[in-house]
Amino acid sequence: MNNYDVLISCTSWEDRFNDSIKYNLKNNCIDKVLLFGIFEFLSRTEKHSQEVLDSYSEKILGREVNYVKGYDDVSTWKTIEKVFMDASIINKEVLIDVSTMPRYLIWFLLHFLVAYGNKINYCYFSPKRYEDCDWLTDEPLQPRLIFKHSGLHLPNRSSILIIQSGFDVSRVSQLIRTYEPEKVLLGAQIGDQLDNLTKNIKHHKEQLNYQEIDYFTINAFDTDHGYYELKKQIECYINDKNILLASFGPKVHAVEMFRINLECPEVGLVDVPVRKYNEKYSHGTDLDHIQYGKLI
Amino acid sequence: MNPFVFNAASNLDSELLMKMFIPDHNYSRFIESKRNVFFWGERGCGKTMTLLYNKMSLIKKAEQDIRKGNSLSFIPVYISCITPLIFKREYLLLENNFKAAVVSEHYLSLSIALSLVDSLLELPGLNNILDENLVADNISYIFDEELPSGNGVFTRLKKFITRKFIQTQKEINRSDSDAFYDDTFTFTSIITPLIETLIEQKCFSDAHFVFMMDDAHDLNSHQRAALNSWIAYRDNSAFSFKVSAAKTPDFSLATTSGGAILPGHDYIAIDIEKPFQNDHSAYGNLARKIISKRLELIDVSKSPEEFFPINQNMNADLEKARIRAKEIAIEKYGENDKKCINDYIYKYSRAIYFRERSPRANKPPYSGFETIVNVSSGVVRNLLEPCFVMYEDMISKNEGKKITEISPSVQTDVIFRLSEGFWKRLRDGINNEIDSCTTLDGQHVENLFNSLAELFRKRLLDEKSSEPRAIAFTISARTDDIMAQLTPILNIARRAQLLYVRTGNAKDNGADEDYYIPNKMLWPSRGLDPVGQHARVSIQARHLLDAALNKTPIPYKDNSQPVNLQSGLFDE
Repeated sequence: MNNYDVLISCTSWEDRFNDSIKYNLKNNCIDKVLLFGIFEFLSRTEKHSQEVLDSYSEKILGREVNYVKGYDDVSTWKTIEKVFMDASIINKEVLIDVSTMPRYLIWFLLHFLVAYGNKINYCYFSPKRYEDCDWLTDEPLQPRLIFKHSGLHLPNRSSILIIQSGFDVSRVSQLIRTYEPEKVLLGAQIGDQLDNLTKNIKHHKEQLNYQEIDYFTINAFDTDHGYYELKKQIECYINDKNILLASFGPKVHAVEMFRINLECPEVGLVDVPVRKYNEKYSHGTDLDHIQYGKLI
Repeated sequence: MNPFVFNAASNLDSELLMKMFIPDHNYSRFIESKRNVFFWGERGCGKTMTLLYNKMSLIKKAEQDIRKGNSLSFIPVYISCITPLIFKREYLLLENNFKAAVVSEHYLSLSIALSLVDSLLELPGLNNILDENLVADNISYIFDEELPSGNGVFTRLKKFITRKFIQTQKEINRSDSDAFYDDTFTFTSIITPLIETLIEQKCFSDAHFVFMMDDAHDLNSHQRAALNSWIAYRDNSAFSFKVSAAKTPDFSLATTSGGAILPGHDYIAIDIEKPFQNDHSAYGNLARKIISKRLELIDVSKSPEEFFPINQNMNADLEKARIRAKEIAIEKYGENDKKCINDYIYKYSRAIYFRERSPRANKPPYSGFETIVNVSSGVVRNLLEPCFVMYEDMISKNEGKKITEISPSVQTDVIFRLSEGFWKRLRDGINNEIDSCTTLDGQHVENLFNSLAELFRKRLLDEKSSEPRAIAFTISARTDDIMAQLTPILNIARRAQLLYVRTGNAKDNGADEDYYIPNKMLWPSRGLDPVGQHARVSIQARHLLDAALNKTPIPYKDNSQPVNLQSGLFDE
């Protein structure tokens, strides 16, 4: 059992949201829970949110969900900043559960956690089962460089995109169209999830109308959550290219990308938010293979 | 090497780019003028290639001037606006809009400065004909800072600017939201003094600095306003801007002071695709030259037609259809009316080929250079993409042997795959790929294209149709409320490059009108003829809207307008 001042989680329609809070509160000594929610998904998440609020009302900071606007990252940023100041999330021992968080929220929260001197532990709960859906996300927005973690770039260098691929080729395609990189390095998750490697690479090869793609394998569920493989890829280009990292696969890897950005601020983080998620894609919570890590 | 590479031109090796570029429409006259110029054009039409080609040509001229001891006439400076630097968004966190504008302009001004220095460093021997120490002293004086050490003044200046870039980004990326960098530059505090310093030197005394801003549509609103303000400067003796941009409805021409730059007055506007839109033979010739040059790169001395041979059965069947059309025409007009006979053959022979195919037959074996050029819809990137994929397929089949032609079966297969890919994009929903396009918008676009395909099919198969192969359309009976609903759907299709808009003469009164060409790569999958003919179908706005919203078939009546002003793709 570990001691944490604060557990941070994000409301969701997925079983993982409720199950992970229950699990973490039962198996750790946690003082408070800070809940964030995506305003645009409120109608789909409020049932689960209410259950958590009712069950753990004493634990929830402010006894409410802090809603951020998913499509307005300036507003989201400022909301988080205010919540952190109001709730004094400063120099605390924090456990951030990234299971149901959009990547921009993971990275924004990590930014403020680091900025306010917190000790950061993270966890990730996989679903028990994935549905073999024909789509996972829909209606992507323009790619966005992450505030304060956008990298250090020079205009006379060409760009390299390093992408941890998921199953949504359209978001990769958006990135390529926007940044016209010299090369794309596509990291495919190894493992059995949805026939990962084969299906993933085949998917991208078929659908991406782009020639300069190199593939590499990565295991976000390894002990380093894919950190060393990613670092290896970056080192080849760090001195003479603009490098952007995007994560569309397992979210623990997004945390490792953040770590890399802290170590190498030259490397930028980019996200492609979406308006729609397929609610049916995950079922249950796998409590036997929880991923833990420590950022700082 | 696959010679049909169609990557972003800015990533191409400059020597290769010079070999690939077709200089017929190089716009050198405009680039080498002292006027500001906007080059408008769709994604993939060759804007970047044009700017880079001209940059390299001017660099070569400058090299010659240096060798001959002449003063330099043009200094080309290429600035890409799709670097991650341009997409940085921290300025949005600044509460003070003025600071946001300042930091945005700072990045852009530094980018121009760095590109300027890079251009100067590309000129060998420049250091021999200028007083480097004096230039270095002047620059240090202007910036009130000693330049870093290094080999040559421009290398030192490059280090200085690079350091400023890194310092700025580190400062702006500081964790506090309102982090700001005080020591900013503007165009007038860095570019103008640099130009003034340079033109004090004899070799630069007559030089004109040509700032080529590529993909300016990606600049943020502050940067666009700043650029427009620089364009609005009255004195263009020392520098001018050549701006390339995709024509988007929201491209603002406003300046920082709230005014706007005006075509003709502040800049010349050039539609880079126009020479090819209204003269199909010009595009056919350009396409042939592009492919010939690419074949030279792999030492293949064949014509594009030989390299992309047509399926022999298709060729023979097309010939039979042509003879059949001729017979009908002679029956109709008599043997002596050559013009009517030729017109009839042009209009109907391919239609007869498509019409008289057995319903049980497979789709036509689309192949041949003419078909490839036609499916490109007049966009160079669309021309190169199928060629690229075909070449890759041939490599896989040939196992290392030299590729001397693309077999018709490979061509057919690739054309079907790419064509089917377009319909799959529509079925999957282009909301997957277009920002601010909802699922419903995506369905509307799909509905519209399904209805258009059905309409074009009916026309092709109708023996009485006067223009059976028309695959372009105009919109009639426009009303404000219908167009308010229809235009966003058409704009989404345009952004997805499923639809192109051209301007041409209307037949009835000779005035210009907009007409719409669905991407011709859509048609092979539907068994239609992508070659088309020079006619436009007039469709009422409400019918298009009804098709998009409710899947209602577009009513078919023979209402196409032949356009006789254009010649065929390969007509001389």
